[in-house]
Amino acid sequence: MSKCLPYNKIIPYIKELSKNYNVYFPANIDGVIKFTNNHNEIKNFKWGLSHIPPKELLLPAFEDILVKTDSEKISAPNIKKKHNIIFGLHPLDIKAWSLLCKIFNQKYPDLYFNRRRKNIFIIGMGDYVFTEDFACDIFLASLGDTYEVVINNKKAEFLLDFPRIFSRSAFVGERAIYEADPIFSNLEKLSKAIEQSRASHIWDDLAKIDLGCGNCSYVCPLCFCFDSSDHIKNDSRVFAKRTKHWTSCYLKSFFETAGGNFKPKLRDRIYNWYYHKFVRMPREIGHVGCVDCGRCIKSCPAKINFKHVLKSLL
Amino acid sequence: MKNYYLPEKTTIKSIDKLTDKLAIFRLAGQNLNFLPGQFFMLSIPGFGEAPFTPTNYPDKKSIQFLVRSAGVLTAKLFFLKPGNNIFIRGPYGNPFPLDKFQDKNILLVAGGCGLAPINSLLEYLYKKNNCQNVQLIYGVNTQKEIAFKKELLSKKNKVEILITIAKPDKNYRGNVGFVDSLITKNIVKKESIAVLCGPPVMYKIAIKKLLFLGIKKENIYLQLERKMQCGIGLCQHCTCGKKYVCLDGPVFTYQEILEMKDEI
Repeated sequence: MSKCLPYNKIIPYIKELSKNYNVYFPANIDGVIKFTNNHNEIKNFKWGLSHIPPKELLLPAFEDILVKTDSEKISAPNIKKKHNIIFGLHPLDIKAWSLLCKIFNQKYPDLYFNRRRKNIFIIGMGDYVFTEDFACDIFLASLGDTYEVVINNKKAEFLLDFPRIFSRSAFVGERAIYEADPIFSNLEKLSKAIEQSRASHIWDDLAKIDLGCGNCSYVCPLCFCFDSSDHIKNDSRVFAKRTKHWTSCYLKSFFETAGGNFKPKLRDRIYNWYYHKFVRMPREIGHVGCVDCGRCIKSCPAKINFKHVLKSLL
Repeated sequence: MKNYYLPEKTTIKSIDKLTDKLAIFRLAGQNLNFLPGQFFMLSIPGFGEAPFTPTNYPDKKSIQFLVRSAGVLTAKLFFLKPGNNIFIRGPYGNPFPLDKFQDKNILLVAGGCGLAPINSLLEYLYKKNNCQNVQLIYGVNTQKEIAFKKELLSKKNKVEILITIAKPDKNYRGNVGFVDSLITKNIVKKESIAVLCGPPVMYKIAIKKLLFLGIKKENIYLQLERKMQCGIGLCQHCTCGKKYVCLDGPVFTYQEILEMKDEI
């Protein structure tokens, strides 16, 4: 017998969870799927790939990293230790989260990332799973009109303590394993093709239509590069805080230094984006910096499809 | 878990202004241990943070930086006075491979503010005194911009100091031009290890000349400049191909740079 969550109990379940915890869930807001913790939106719950990935919960678009505590001291701001729950995380986003965890826990683990991650329980949802790097606490595997509850982390079992919500089923479904696009099947070949393409006209051609806006970075669940900036209190010269915030390597200012700009040409910055995702990240974490969610394709104003670019290189 | 973004507070001990835009800042640095070539992140709350390389011998008493006013943070630095506070975190990156320099001819080439790590290395080599022959080629724009003039001249007994000025006064009688005008067959010793730091344009010309004189690619060391935001290999601002200037550098051999296939 396995525990099951019937389809019609999803909304009641989110309501129950929201009574005690801060629950983020995907909802259809103005025709777009967004992650929200607004109780009023529970009725609009809609599972799917959100327009912007929920990476914001780990890496906020703006995060205070230092604040002034007294006249001469600066320190890291405290964060609320209340448990956050992400409900209905898409398998592709679960994969992306797991890879982000690897990135931010290399030689110098990032305190801010890790303390946020520690406070979040993930309830994933979907009809397929990954065999590797798939760190979610509970996974709701779709069986049609009901979801089989798979517990990956025993510490998260308290999230299932709602006898009226769950039912029992003798049926145990076989979970489908995610099959990656064949373009990613030969990582070595892909990395090599990009490494050897530095002088290729492909990047020049791309730079002619690319706006260099960086939209693809903001919607990518695996883009994480950041800038830091200082803020002062309104109408004063007193330091208020230092923030770490999203940026994009597509932007011209990204490689600016006092001695000049090291990548003034857009073609080189485009190349750098592909190089990072398909050469450097495989070296660092053993996986491309892409989960093939397609968000960058959907939000590109120039209608650039990175897969077409990769195919033209292979 | 350590918070790598949290800087320590320290005090400015003295400021030696060479010009309106170039100065040497000496900070109290009791616990700041480093080796020549490594860098620190300096910050003034409200004005941002940027990487700087110390320019003194690592004596744990104080730490010195040669700073050119170029942006918001450095402009603010020039308004500070001895006794003011400043924040620092580090050291980051790898030092010069000091073991490899033992018993070798060392040619140091510094352009302008690029003297910072070179001076630190020079002080180190001078104190340890285990190299065969040390030469310094130092290029600046005007006479006023020559940093550590006294300190450099005091080492003349052991170190060959060659200074060149691009835009000298009328009374100046030394070498005129950029550093490459001194990278010649008569000056550069055979089988030397060259260590360079300066603006990108200097690298391009100086390397060409060094290679022409038969210095091997793996014996040319450069210190690269990038505006890293974290210093711990995350922010992606300092990537050079497969490497990070903050984690794998900032010191690289020319051979490594060619393999990176990225800009100097």
